[in-house]
Amino acid sequence: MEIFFVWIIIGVVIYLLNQSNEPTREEQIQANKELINKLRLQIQVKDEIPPKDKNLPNEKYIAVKVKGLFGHPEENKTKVFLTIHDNTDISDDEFGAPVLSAHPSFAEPNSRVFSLTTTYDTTPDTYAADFFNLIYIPKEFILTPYKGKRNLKFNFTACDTDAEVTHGGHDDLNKIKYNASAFYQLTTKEIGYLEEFANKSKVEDLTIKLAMTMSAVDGHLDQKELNVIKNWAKSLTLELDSEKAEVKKKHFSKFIKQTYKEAKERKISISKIVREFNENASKGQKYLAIELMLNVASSDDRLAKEEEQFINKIAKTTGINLKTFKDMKNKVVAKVGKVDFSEKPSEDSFGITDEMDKKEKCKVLRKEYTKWNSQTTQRDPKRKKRAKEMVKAIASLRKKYNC
Amino acid sequence: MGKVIGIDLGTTFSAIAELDDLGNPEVLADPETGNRITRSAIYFGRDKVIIGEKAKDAAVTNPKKVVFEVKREMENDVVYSLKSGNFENNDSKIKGYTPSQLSSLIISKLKEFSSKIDKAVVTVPALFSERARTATLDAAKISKLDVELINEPTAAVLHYANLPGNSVSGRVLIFDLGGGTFDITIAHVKGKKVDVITSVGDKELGGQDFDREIIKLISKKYKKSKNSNIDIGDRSLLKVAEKIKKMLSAKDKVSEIVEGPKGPLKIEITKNEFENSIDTYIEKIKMLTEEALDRAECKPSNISQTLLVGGSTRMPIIIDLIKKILKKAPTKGVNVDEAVACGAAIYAGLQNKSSLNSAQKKAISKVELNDVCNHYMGTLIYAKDNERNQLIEVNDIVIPRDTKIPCSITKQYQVLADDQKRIDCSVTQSEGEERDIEFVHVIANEPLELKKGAKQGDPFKVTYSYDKNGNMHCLFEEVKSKRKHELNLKPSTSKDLKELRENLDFEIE
Repeated sequence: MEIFFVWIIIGVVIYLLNQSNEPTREEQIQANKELINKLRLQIQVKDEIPPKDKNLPNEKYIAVKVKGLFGHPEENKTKVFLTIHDNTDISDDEFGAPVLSAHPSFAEPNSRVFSLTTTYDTTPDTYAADFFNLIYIPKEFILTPYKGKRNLKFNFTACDTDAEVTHGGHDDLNKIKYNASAFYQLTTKEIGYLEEFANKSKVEDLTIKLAMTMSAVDGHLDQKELNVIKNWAKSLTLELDSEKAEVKKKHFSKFIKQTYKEAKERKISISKIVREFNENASKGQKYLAIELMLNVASSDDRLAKEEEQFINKIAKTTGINLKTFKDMKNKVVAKVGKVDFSEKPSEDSFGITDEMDKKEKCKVLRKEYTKWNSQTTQRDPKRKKRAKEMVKAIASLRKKYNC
Repeated sequence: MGKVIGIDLGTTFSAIAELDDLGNPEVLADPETGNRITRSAIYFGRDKVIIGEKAKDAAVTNPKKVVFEVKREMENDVVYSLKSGNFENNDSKIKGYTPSQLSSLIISKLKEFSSKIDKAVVTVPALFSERARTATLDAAKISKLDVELINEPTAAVLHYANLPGNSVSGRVLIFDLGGGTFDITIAHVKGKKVDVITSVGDKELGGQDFDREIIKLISKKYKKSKNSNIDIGDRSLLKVAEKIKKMLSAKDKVSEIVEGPKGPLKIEITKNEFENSIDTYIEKIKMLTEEALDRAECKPSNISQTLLVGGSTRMPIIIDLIKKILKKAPTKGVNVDEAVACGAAIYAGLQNKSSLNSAQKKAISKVELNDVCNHYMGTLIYAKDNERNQLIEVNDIVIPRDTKIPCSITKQYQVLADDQKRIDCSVTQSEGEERDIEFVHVIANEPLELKKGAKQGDPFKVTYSYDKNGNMHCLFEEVKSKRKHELNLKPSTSKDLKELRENLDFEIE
């Protein structure tokens, strides 16, 4: 009898033990969730300084990381895409206007739309257990449609190898096997590309007004200067179809005449057009305007003091990179027969700023010396003369700073 | 067995040296005058030309017929017109002599100091452009000499390293300030092995520039005293200025009588006035010395010795400047006017061992020279300027300056547009690390036709290489089609001898 009870107890214990090893339904669901989560394709976008082995500058990039299952279920290759859309003011499920890339290596073929694509050798169970670095994107490479605080949707898709992306959109959604999105906030002070498009005509007119005002600043507005402005305006019509080009030409013809009259009579408010220009022009348009002003100023083979001062002032207010501006100005300075520098010798011309210490100033001057001295043996007498003047100015600045 | 010689073709003075029977370099004197250096001045007589000091003297009475400073024009497409007495743009309407032709007259004169010359080495400033090097080779060709080129400071350091009982070792700085050019080279010397680290220089900085500053001082003083302008182009003034400059090396003030439109005037120039007048040049020398130290990544204390080359290094202000920058006095011991020619003779022996006797071979058996590329070599490409958001043409460096030669570097670029027909294979040269196309010299530009149907982004490779003789080769290759275009930039004489020698049948004195 006792033995019988012992066997019953053993049986109950075994039953209970068996019962405790079998997962509950909740546990099963949880386990499945964990597995799916582990395998799920995920994308992470954040600011990060790239590791040293990437050989990238030690500054913050937009780091795009991916983990999870992305191997094509049927094929042994998987084509992946990264696209970026501006989802500001729309729901997360939608896709806003695509962002553009400032660099062709991050753009769709024959387009400026941002897109990154690559094809991996995969098996159906290819997955990344941990986040891996897909790409480090320099922030300045991303051109948004509008300026200000933008909510960018980074979309990563794993697709059939014949899948294509055009203007940020997939050609066939059925070719997408896995998909993941993440959001990133980017604040940009620059005019967006859609704004640039909308403001194009206005900015062109403002550029002509700026150039005309600049050319009149030294007291005379000659035909050579006017011709440079006319040719610039003409170049803007070349890419248009004949009908539109004709309309544009008529507009420019009238506008240039009117602006010429206003500039001669000094009726243009410089502060007003500069403010308007800065509010509406993109960075690229600002450089084009500066380039036009420099070309107009140098068309009479002389860069007058007033013209140089005017262009310097505009360049500073536009917020463009002053080193790039200096390089652009140097090109003109090297070619013209006469330059009346606004400050003599011009620290500005050599990129010297008040913030630099003596050692830095001396080093900058030495670099500038190498640049200009190599031009002193130029065959063109004007360039030779200019280069010699610049070298002399550098030497005297070096003396001034007791280098 | 013919001889091997070295020629220092200088702006103001030239010299020729050969290896003696024991393999030591020996400067050859002008058999007529006994001078070991020859004035680089050419006088055009009716049917003969005179080279040297006599030619310089002739400038006082016949200024238009005397040519000075030909070396400064070697990279220019100009001719010297006897009618105007100036170098003018090479235009078929202007009758004149090219810099190559003029230099050939100097080389021919120097050749007369030796005999049975087999091979020669001619020296050029370290920063001489490809065009100027080619013109120098043309000059040698006209003189019927088979030559190679060597950089002047490199030749000088070879000479220093080969001095009997040589005490030159470690990281040395060669300070070469001649009549027309200035070069600084930093090299590592161990025994007779010379490794050049870097060379910097200025093609228009030398004793002649200092002379011109003295002429300006003279002119100013004449004007002040006589209220009349003196002709600063008057060649006789150059002679006076040179004399004053040399005397100011020993004295604090010098007086000279100068002829002018309102009669003679005794003009006094003080050392202080002279030194102030050349302060821009002194600042340039300072900048170049700093640059050389920076490029060699060394401090003044890392320089074991400063070796002087060139006549202008005799000026006290230069010696003081070197002491101030490098914190120690320069090494003295060789004739600064002859070091370059002697080094060139050693290099000539090194490059032409089959022309040497056994003693000469033995003397240079341990000599070894490793040089560097003296310019940045690049190519013109279109690149996106992210700042300006525009596609702009820029210079992209392929071989950085100071790269040890021999070397080979490949860079990959992309075809710009679909159906692009060709690419321009351009080769650029610059002293600085320039991206701006306005500040580089395009030394070659030839097209490479692309295969039909080229796509945007198709890769093409650009490979630049230097062989051990310093000759550069540039290969442009369309990767997909394997189409290639090679540019051989070995400085070579581009014209035939007949063309080069045109109008040049003179007796040389």
